[in-house]
Amino acid sequence: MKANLIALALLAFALLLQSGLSLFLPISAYVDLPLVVATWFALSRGELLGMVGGSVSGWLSEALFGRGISGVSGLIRLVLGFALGLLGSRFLITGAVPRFFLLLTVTVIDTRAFEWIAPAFGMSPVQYSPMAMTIRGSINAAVGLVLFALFERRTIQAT
Amino acid sequence: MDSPVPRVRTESLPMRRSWMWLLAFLIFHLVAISRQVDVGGVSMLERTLLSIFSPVQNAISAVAGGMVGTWGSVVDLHSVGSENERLKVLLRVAEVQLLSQRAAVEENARLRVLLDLKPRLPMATLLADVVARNASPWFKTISIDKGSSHGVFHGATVLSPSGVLGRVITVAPNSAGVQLLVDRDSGAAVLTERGRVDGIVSGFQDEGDGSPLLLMKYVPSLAVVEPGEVVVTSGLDQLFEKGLVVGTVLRVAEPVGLFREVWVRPSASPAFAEQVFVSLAPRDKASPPPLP
Repeated sequence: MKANLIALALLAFALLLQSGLSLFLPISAYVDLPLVVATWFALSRGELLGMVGGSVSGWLSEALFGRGISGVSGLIRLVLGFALGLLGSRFLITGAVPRFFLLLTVTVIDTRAFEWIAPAFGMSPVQYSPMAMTIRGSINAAVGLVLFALFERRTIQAT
Repeated sequence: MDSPVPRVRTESLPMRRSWMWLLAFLIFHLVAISRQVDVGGVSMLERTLLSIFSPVQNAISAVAGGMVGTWGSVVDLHSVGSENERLKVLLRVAEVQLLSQRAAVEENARLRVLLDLKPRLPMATLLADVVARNASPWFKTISIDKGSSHGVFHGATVLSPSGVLGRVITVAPNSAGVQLLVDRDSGAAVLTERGRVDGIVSGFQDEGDGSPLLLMKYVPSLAVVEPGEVVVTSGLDQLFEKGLVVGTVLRVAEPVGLFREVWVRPSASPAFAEQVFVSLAPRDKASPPPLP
């Protein structure tokens, strides 16, 4: 229970850190820290908490920095969290290369799904070209690898 | 020989429960989203989250600003002596220029009275700090540290010293969310300062370097628009005051049918705006109609 609360607090912290860093660097186009944390949460805690983590990260991002209808990102990350939770409970994804491609795929699916669904609710989100999408996904995956290593070390120390 | 059957049986029950949870969460999300479609305005959830997070965002902004300022002070100590002398010289020059400009302002006021022109009332504004920038990759929004308790209202114009930055879209007591003009869903009625050509600008991302631009639409194909022309708000949309600088024309597309598109580089850079001005009173309150 305590670990789950810490993980949820970490999600809020990731969002605040991202918005704080965005004051100095235009990182939001390349890095999505709440998504990385939600991915780790889902992989390490299973589908149920993965759904909660994904949904919370989406809702927080949209409620604080979105406009118009909130919840579309939460809906997408809910499904992503569920899928990642299922994946994490059946496979041990520890290598750098599988993790990189997993994070890359998650970033691309999350972004493309939002670009696809949001117009149905009258929103026109930023559209990423295939090149920009690849760069965004790769940078986010690289940042995610570092964070995953940190989380893993922290988990091992705690146990 | 071991049979794989028990393994399948032990997993089937939690699996079914997981799918039930997924279904429940999906229904909850769809209901929550669909409720907003008809309501409009700022939801209670958004207002609550803004109220909870804005003090933390203020604190992060203050700490980060303090750290940058301290580091800057340490670095600046090296060149402070020579810079001081140089600034003293510049100050004397500026004082002389200020005197002549004061004289020009006074002369301008006298001429206005003589010509019986109605002076344009300056918009009442409030200075606000940018405490967070869009953490979401899809939208162009910022958060500021002033809200309804300071007089900020939904739809207030947000300006930077170099031009229009955007409009307030969510208001909490001590913070507000601003939709930037470079957001794809934003819009403003504008006209070119020299040619007086009308159009509507909205956010657009340059396909080359990805920098935020404005796309001016509904420009008549026969209208003459030159690169470098200043684009200002026309006030026709009743959202922005007339005459506020929006940007400069970057390039003009070939006409397609009745219209042509014009790319405008925004004059206010949203990427590194730290402080902004927010209009305080709605338009109708700022300039009440004259009494009969």
